[in-house]
Amino acid sequence: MTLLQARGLVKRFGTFVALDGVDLDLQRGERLVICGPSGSGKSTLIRCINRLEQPDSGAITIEGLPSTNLQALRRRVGMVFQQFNLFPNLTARENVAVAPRKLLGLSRTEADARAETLLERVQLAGHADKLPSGLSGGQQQRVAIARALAMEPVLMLFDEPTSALDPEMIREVLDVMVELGQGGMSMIVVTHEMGFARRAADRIGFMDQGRIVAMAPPQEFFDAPPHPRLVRFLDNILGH
Amino acid sequence: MDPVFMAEVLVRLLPPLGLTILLSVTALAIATPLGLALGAWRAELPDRHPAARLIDAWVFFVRGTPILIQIFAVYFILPKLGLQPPLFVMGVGALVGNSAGYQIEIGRAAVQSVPKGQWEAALALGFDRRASLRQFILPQAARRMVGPVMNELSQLIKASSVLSVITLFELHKAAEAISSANLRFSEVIVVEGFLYFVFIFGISLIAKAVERRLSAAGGLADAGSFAR
Repeated sequence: MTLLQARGLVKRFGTFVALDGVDLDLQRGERLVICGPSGSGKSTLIRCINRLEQPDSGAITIEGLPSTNLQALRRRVGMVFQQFNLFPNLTARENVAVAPRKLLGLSRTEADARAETLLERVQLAGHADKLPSGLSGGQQQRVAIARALAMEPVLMLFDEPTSALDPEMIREVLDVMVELGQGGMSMIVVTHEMGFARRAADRIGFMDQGRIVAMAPPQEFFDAPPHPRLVRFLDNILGH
Repeated sequence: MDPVFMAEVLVRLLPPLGLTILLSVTALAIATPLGLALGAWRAELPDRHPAARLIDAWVFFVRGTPILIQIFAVYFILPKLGLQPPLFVMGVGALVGNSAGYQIEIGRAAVQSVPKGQWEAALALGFDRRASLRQFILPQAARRMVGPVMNELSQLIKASSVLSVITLFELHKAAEAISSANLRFSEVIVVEGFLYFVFIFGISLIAKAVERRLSAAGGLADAGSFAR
């Protein structure tokens, strides 16, 4: 069943065309990885899905419904950022509990309980009372994942979630994401982590100059790259 | 220096000090919430918005003219417009106009200094802009305001001395009267300066306590981690 359908997305920044007519379908429970050179429009694409960027034209439906109400849309779509963007003045627990409490009307006890469960799920039981500044980058990113999950989204967007992390912390974040995917969460992940893509993606999309120029399951994507630009891209990032 | 005369001056300056305190504290109580709120609002307005232009013009005027001119402006121009408020109200009004002008800038800068990622995190969770501002941005901005606002408080108290030009019998006006009646300037200046210092020091102690409370609430604990 189709969860997300995007048609003809165009987004310009001044004269720069970030998205040049993108179509995208995502099935419920599907894990899609999007990669591509910098400036190819990957981040813009997922930021258009939850309308952090407003596309200049094109249409997006989620669960068959057009996304007319911004807040309602965003409550159903979780997002994880490259820079984590945790609220620095709130503890890990408060970061996770605040949205369900303020937006879904959960009591403090209910919201805190939900936060505890989610923090446990991202392997951070025992860190609930810490401020973000007291956590490592990998831990902060896992809190950010828990925070997004707290709204019980139908779709999770990841915008280069490991790009700001030291190498030894990348694994702990990817493990959480793999497990999330195995649990049936629909996900779109913008990343250069090709190991993750191979391990966890149902399909991998390759973007270049604002278009999705190739889309294939991992095996085909890596072993028989369906586009010449992709062959060069893979050489560059896998060859070093 | 005659200590007996100075003690006498000190006692005679206490009632006018009372007026200085009353003027300053009243002006502070109005200018700080007004200025910071307008500043936070201004941060959210597009530059072309009429309210934004009005606020910018206010800030421009306050920054671009001496406080003396601003006080005279209130004193001479209001009556021409048919308004004749009591002197005290004019004095407070001039101080509020001046100080709020500076505090608008403090509020605006503090809100704009919160990283864009904080907005995006709040919006992505499903908060609207207003709720994002109130729930996440303002608490972080508030702690960035404390230092500059404390600075502005002492500026405002010192600026209140210029109200002497519109015959408000506050601390400086009274000191002037005493020194010219007795032709003894140095003693009076020393006592007057001491009283201003004590008042400003007292206010700064209160402000420090407020700062500590904000800090205890967690707002100060990690200034570094979002300075990115």
